[in-house]
Amino acid sequence: MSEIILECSNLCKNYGRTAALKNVNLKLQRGHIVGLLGPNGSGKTTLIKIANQLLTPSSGAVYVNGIPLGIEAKKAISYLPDCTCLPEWMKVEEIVQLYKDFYEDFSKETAFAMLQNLHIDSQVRLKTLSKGNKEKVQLILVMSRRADLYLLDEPMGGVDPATRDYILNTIIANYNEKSTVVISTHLIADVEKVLDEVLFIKDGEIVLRDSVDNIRDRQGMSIDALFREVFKC
Amino acid sequence: MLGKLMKYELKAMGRIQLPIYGALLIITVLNALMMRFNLPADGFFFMIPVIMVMLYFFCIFVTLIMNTILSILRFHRNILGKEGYLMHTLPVSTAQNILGKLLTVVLFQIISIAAAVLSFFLLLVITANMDVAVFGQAFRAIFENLDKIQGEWVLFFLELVGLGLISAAFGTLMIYAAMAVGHMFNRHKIIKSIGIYILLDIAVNIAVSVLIAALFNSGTVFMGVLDSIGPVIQSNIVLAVFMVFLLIWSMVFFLITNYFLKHKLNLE
Repeated sequence: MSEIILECSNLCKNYGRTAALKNVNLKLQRGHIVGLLGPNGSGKTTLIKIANQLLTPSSGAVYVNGIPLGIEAKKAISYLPDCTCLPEWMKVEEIVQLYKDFYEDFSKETAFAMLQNLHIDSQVRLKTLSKGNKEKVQLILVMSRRADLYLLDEPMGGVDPATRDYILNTIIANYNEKSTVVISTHLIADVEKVLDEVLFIKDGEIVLRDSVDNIRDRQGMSIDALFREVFKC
Repeated sequence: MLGKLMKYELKAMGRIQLPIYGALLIITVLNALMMRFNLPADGFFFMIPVIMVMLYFFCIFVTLIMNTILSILRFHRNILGKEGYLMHTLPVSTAQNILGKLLTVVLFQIISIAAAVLSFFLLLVITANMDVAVFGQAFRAIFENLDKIQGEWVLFFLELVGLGLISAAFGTLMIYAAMAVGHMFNRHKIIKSIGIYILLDIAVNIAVSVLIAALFNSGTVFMGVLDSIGPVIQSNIVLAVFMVFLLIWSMVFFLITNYFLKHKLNLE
């Protein structure tokens, strides 16, 4: 088991002449909750998609648990995409069963407990749920796994403040020293209380990497305030 | 993992296909009863038999065509659409994802054809009030006569079945390849997919013409060999040639689909 859970080595991604990622070099260790912060179009989603093998890099490499991307990497990563992507015709309990069928580290008990907490009926079809509830179901499925790396792309995008708190509490509750959670978001004020490390990404490059404690002590400002300064328009 | 993928694909396709088979069964029985009992067809009622027969043929048509339509919709939504975020991040290979869908489509193709054939037999049995045992006797008679020709007819029927299965796979994979390649474009994906399908179709047709010209023109070595053997074995060889031809093209389309899904995927 490698100490470095995610490594990007000279990672580049071009769309035609536009460079979405420029020579990204990154090593993330286990046991951290990392914020991947940047404005829209900065490359956050591109980076996450490459790690999930939904995009192929133009050059460079990515390693999960020290091994190149492949099926083992997919087993190690629990991914929450930015959109609702579950088959709408399925019932909630069916999609829970699907996760159980494909992921050895998935816990049905945890999933059903969280569904109950959020008052989501497991007998209904996904298409009858509101957008917010669909996102909650997706999050529950992702967090009910005991993965090495959680990649959450805008996990709090379309949900109300109370649910945002629930999501953050779930992330903290699921935290263990063997896993790393990467949260990509621009809702920084809400999320900064759970982060211990931040990566600022701008125009496809990592412009800042530091622990949250260092930033607060040294700069004397919140992450939100630093973000506004670094990404001033 | 392939089994699990097929389990969910069977569910996804079955929820559309099974009601269609159910509707076909109902329409078949209704038509058969209507014809058997000669319901009154004067005045207002004369349209009913006409409508019933039209409905019957419509159901047969839908049964035979729905599989192809579904295979396209499923690939479009589940592999190239938003559900792709789920399917491509499951711990399965791209090849398994394609194969899971392909095998389920071929399975439903067999079931759909069987449903249409059974519907026809059911219509006969109910309408003519036939004893089902009559069919058993007819099949036995056919087999006894076939035995008198040569042993290779078993191989012939097996090859026909094999050719049917490979054709179904070939047709589906050609659609998948066209869709996978069309998906890599940023705009007008659907029109480009159709265009690519047409190009692939042309390529296959050219290949068939070349094959026939190379092998089946009188004067070739191949024809020489064929002329010297019995008719049933001739058919065995010809069918085998076409099976291999379709198998090779199926593998080509599979490789194209796999490559584009693995390296050129760009989900929105």
